[in-house]
Amino acid sequence: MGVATLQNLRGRLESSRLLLWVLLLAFPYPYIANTLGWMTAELGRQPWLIYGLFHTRDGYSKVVSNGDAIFTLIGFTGLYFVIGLLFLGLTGREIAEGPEEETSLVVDQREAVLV
Amino acid sequence: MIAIWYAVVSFTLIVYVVLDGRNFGAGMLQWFVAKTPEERRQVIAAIGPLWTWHEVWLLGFGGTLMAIFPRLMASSFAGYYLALFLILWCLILRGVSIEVGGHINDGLWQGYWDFNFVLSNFLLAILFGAAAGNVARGVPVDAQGNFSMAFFTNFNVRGHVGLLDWYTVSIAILAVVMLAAHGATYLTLKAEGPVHDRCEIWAKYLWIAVVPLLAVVLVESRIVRPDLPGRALFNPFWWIGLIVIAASAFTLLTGLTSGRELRAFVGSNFLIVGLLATGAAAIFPVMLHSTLAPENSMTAYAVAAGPMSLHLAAIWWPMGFALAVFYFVFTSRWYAGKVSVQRDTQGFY
Repeated sequence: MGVATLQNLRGRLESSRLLLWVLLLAFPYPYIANTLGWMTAELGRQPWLIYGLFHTRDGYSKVVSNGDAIFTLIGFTGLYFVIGLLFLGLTGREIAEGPEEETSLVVDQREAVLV
Repeated sequence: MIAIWYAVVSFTLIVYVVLDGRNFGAGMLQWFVAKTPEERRQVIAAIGPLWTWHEVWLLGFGGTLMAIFPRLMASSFAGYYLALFLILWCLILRGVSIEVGGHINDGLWQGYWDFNFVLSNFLLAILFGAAAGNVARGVPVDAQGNFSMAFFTNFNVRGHVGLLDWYTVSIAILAVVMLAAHGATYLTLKAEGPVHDRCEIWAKYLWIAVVPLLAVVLVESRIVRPDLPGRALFNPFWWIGLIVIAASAFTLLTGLTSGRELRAFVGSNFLIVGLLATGAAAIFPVMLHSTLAPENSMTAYAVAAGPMSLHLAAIWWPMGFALAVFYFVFTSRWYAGKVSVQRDTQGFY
């Protein structure tokens, strides 16, 4: 990141091929870092819900049955699966279309409502 | 002090219902007031940039509830478990429909997401209406302060009640009609062209339909909770709520008949605020009425957090509130004005 910022300030970011490849391949890292950060915080705190004050085994809802919990877990898995597919599909579409040409920036305004 | 916090919690929820209620209403009516794909996009553009900051108030309500009345939140979030997840899924579905629908310019794709959009808005109005009915009627709270409910039991309002019974269903119907009327009033203000003209007619008929439904619900409430109006007569907020209802009904009526759209919309907003505020004042201090035994009911005083938490909340809550209000003013001004089929003034939705 530091090198990229330096190159950008020097106006040479677009011409340094190797660096651009590194940046392209680095795109999953924010996702991985974010997820692992959450997991470290949540798993690392066990068996506490609030560190030193409240145990996880004392914190669950007694009136919510296993079936309810499994049902919502399955529901969320399905929902996020669909949203994930939508994300991949629509992002893939955008990538496949490539960057817009300069001329097409002047969009027909009637079309813009539809897009 | 607790009474003030009760008012604050009610206030955040009421603001949410009024703000997002117009999106529910406009969303439900998309089928009826928009005939062409362009007009359907126009309805979405009328709420597209705004619904996310309306949901800020729902989060604010949840956060305030957790800070001020943690025991109530623990009890009710567990008791309403499946209902809350349905609301959450509908909110997600609606958000996805708004965001995804415009990305592919294809009739089938857009039609499918518009269908999801309308359906989830309908369900949200029904669910929030039923939830309001549950708060008014009470839930089967046991002596430990726990409750769990099936969706249906025997459709009655006493003892082991379910989420839906004749009372909560009638409130859900009222909520659907009233929020649709609210949404139509909003669209007359926000849209132009054929959508505007159709909404003008819809708004009039829907508001007329609200009157008998509201009367029915009031009579039902008297039967379901005969204990309620007694305490409320000594609650100044209840009287303020009544004054707000009267004033805003007048504003709405004159706005609708004279075609002054902003006036009608302001009236419509405050009418819903007044109705909900009157309801919130009427049930105070009981936040969760028990249908099993009155002594199990959870009052605001019993479920409030300790003085330390309330003290911290008194410092942090105004800061969050100031941010939310700033956001409110900024987005309202940024996206002010009408949306049209011809001009895309509202971003890509």
